[in-house]
Amino acid sequence: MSTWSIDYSSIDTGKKIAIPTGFDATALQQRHNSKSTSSPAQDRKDTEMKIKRAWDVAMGPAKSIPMNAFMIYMSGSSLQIFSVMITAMLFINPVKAMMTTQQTFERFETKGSNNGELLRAKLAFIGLHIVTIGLGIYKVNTMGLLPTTTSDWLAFLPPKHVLEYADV
Amino acid sequence: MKHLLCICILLCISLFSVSALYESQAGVIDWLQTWIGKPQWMSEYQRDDQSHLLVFTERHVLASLSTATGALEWRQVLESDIASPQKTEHGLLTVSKTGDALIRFWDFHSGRLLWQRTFEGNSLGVKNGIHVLDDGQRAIVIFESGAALLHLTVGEVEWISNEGLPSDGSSHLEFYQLDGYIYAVCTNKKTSSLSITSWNLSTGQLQQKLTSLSSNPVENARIQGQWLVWTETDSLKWKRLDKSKVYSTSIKSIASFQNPVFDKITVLSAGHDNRLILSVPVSMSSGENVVDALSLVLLSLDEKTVQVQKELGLWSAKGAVTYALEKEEEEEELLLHVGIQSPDDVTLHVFGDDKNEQRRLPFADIELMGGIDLAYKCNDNDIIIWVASSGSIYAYDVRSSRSLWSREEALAHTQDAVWLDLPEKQSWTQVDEEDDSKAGTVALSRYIRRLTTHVLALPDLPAWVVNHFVGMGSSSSSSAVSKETLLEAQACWSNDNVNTMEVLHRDSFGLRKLIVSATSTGKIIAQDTGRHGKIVWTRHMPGVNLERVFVVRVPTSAKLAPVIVVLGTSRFALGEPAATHLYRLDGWTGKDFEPKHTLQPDFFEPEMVTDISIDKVMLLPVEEPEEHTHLLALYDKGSTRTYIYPDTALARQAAQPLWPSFYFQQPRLDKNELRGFQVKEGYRGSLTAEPVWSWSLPADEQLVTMTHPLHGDKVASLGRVLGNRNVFYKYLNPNLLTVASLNPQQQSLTIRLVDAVKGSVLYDTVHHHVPVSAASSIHVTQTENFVVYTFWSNDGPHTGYQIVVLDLYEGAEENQRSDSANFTSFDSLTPHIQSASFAFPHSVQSIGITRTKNGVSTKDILFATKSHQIVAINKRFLDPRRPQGKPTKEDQEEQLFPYGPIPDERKMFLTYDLDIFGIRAIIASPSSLESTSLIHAYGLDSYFTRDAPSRQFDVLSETFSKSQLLLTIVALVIGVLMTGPVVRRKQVNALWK
Repeated sequence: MSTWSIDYSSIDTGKKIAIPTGFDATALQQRHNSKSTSSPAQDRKDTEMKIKRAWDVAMGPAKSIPMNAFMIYMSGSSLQIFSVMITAMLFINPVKAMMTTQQTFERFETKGSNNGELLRAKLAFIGLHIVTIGLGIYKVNTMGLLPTTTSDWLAFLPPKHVLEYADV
Repeated sequence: MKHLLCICILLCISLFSVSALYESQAGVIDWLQTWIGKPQWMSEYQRDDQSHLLVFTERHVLASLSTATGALEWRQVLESDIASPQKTEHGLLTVSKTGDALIRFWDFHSGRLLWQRTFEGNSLGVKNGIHVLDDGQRAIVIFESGAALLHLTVGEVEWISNEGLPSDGSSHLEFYQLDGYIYAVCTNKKTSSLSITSWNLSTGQLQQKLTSLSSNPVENARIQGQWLVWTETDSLKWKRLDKSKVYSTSIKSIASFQNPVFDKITVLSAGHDNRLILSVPVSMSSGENVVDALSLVLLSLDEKTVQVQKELGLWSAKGAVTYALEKEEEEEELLLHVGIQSPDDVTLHVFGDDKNEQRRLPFADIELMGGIDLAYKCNDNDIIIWVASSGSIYAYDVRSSRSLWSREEALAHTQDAVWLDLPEKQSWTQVDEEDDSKAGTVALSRYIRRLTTHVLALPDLPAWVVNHFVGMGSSSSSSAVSKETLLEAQACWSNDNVNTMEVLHRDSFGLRKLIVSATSTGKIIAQDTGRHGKIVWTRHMPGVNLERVFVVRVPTSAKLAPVIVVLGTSRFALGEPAATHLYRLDGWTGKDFEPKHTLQPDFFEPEMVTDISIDKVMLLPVEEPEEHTHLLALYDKGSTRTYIYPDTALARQAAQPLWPSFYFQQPRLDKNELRGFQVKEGYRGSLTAEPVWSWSLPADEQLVTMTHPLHGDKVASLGRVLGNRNVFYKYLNPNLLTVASLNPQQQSLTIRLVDAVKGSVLYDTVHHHVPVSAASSIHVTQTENFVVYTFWSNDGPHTGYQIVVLDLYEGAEENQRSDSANFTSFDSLTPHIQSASFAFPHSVQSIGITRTKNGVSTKDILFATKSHQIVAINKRFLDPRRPQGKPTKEDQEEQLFPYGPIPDERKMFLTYDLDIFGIRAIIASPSSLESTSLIHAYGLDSYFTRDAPSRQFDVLSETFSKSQLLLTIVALVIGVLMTGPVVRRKQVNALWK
């Protein structure tokens, strides 16, 4: 699209450029120092904090379940664009979320021994999404799209072979 | 695919299916041919300086045709046969032949009834027992015992007398009037006597009864001037009307006749009072053939002697006398005879005082006529109208020696009809190629030939483009182009057409088919449904009463033409056993079927005549391996033998595996019994039918009608889905028989479902208050898993016509099914019946059911009403599951609507405002469109239409505007092309900002 570009290699880095106003080169240095010098107590507090946050994330889908249920109820069992969209969402969103479970909980990972706790949080997260999918399946069932009744298999029945032939 | 269709159908059904025609489609996709039948009486009248033909036919139709064009002007379909009509100056007088004498006087200009009078308890004594008096104002009617004189203007009875003809058995009457008395000369076959009865015209008093003028069987009597002339075996007798002396002479002494047939001698009038023409049938042997001819002699009578004035020579026996001086003004022509002598022309014989000439009128269709049964010469122009034994009417212009018009009235006598598919257009070219490849032509030359055919087809390309793109805006369903007017379509097919016969082909939706009808007059007629039922080919089998048509080979490709077998009977004389005729014909051309394998040892003739009396003909579900035609089984009740047709060794072999599982049923009406048979192979392959079961109706019941399901009807769904998504499985038994019987004492109708294999009654139900007089209202039909029947009920508040539907399911419970892959009648499985009856506003004379390609569409039950209409009632109306109260949610899901009588909805009439008389049967055939079924009704009239029971879900509606769709697409494309660059420029500009 663009017919122009910047050639960065042409910039002369040897030229002395004044440091912008308010820039303190030592500021970053200080922060690095303070982190490395944090106490074990502080570490434990962080871990607890992370676990707590992880559980918050894990329980997130639970909050949307009542809302989804309400939406299912409201959209009815007829085949319309709205109900089909809601039903599709009920499947796509949880699946997407479950695929990205690892990324979602990556930021709560610590080097310490809280991995067991985190795993439980992940399982809860997945479990709640499965519940959402379950809602979706229920919805599909109420719409009559699941082949659970005999009438769904009627078309696959082979006709009976008639053994006698009578001319009446 | 199936599912898609199902969904489509459900969507369509939800739009309350009522099939009706658009006004623009009327007469385009359907056609009605109005017939009158084979004429047995003809006359003529003038109106607006034009001559019109009056006819009365064997189908009891009184009609008027235009002499110039053959167009039907008016017709009256009478319920019973009438004595030969009497034309007077003011109208047409008719008397019913059977039952109470019903005398009617018609205005022949308009066909309106002027007056009618019934004589209760008096039925007509003799066939021609009505005579208009010389004054033309009064008519005398002769009853079995008595006579009456009527005034013709208003139908007032002048007198009625209880004294009449001597005894029963009278066969012919001649009338004459003398001095205020009317004399009736009565020939009596039973007592072989001739009697004269006379009444006083003013008082009605019986004056004299003079019987037994002769002692020998009297064959023919005629009044000629003041003479009464008759023949007795081999002698001619005459007497003066006012004297009693009888003179006699031997016929042999008059002239030398070769092998005369004395009992068929006729006496014809010849002008002067004392002249008459004697017509003596003779059989002459010319070479090997025996030729029947008429030997005619002009005689003059006087007291005591008879003299031969002139021998008129031999005239064709296959002909009819149009007049032997019945008209005063035609003095110079005494006798006019139209006959057939050679295979190329019709002979017109004119005899007059000073002429005796014979004219040959070139005519191509002699072999389609048989003989001439009736002829008529129009008064002022040289038009001769003749009726062939085959039933056709031809009008011939003598002056220009050409045929004017014709009507194929044989179709009014249709006994059976079948559908035939037409080949696809492309497949005709395939035939050529396949033939070539057999001949071993080089590939290159074949390629060149193909290329040339494509080049030759190039001129059609613009038309094709126009058809496909320009024509898209117009209706799609009127595919077959019909240029013929109805009148042209009703004309007889002529042999002249053989060479110019166009190759018929199917249209893209399979809506064009052939209907092959067999008539009792011995004609086989194929009609093209796409061109107003124009006749494609005709065959005539003289003297054969054709009864059934079977399609023994369904066309699969253009190479394998369909084969039909037509079955008929003929009798040489009354009381003699009938001979059975079987014809094998090519369905597309009507020519005799020629087997390709002519080398087979027992080569079969296309026509087979046998004197075995055949009581039942069955189409077997097996093919013989050489020609792939289905076999027919012929059952002879007398010898209990069964024959197969064609009876070749290979056919026997093919049929052998079928016999153990083959059953058939034959009712014995005299004993009120049904009998089931199985075919057993005996010594040297002879087949005999052995009785397996017999089942008698209760002694006080009489069989009314019975019906059986059609073999080969396709069933798309094996069950019925309910609102709660459970299933009732259909009880599909192709060997089921529905028997309707009436009990006259208890006035009850019993319907029984009988299994034809084992002869057991699976279900029976009784309807009370059905009088015997309403037996004609009982009609039954069945298909798939349901039975529909109609009857008249006298049941108090429910008096009226009723339709009852029986739905057969495998079990009473939902989802109940017998889990076996096979269906055998010997299982103990009995159907569970759901039934309901509905009040119906019309009386029914015939029932048909639509058929579609895969059976996915719902079915319409077609009722031919006695008001000459066809009503299509969807099976959804005739549904036992329709809820009595307010429909529940599940009922709604099942698309059931509340129970109620069948509405008298005008949209349900397939025939809109047409009147279709005398429908005997309605046959249906699937088209290539699943939604559409082709309907043909025959009887007196022939009617063809289409019906879409679940609406046309697979065709764009007539109102859909294709041009609008195309224009929208074009507009969008243009829009995209125009706005594309604009948008691109805008984006670049935005980047610069």
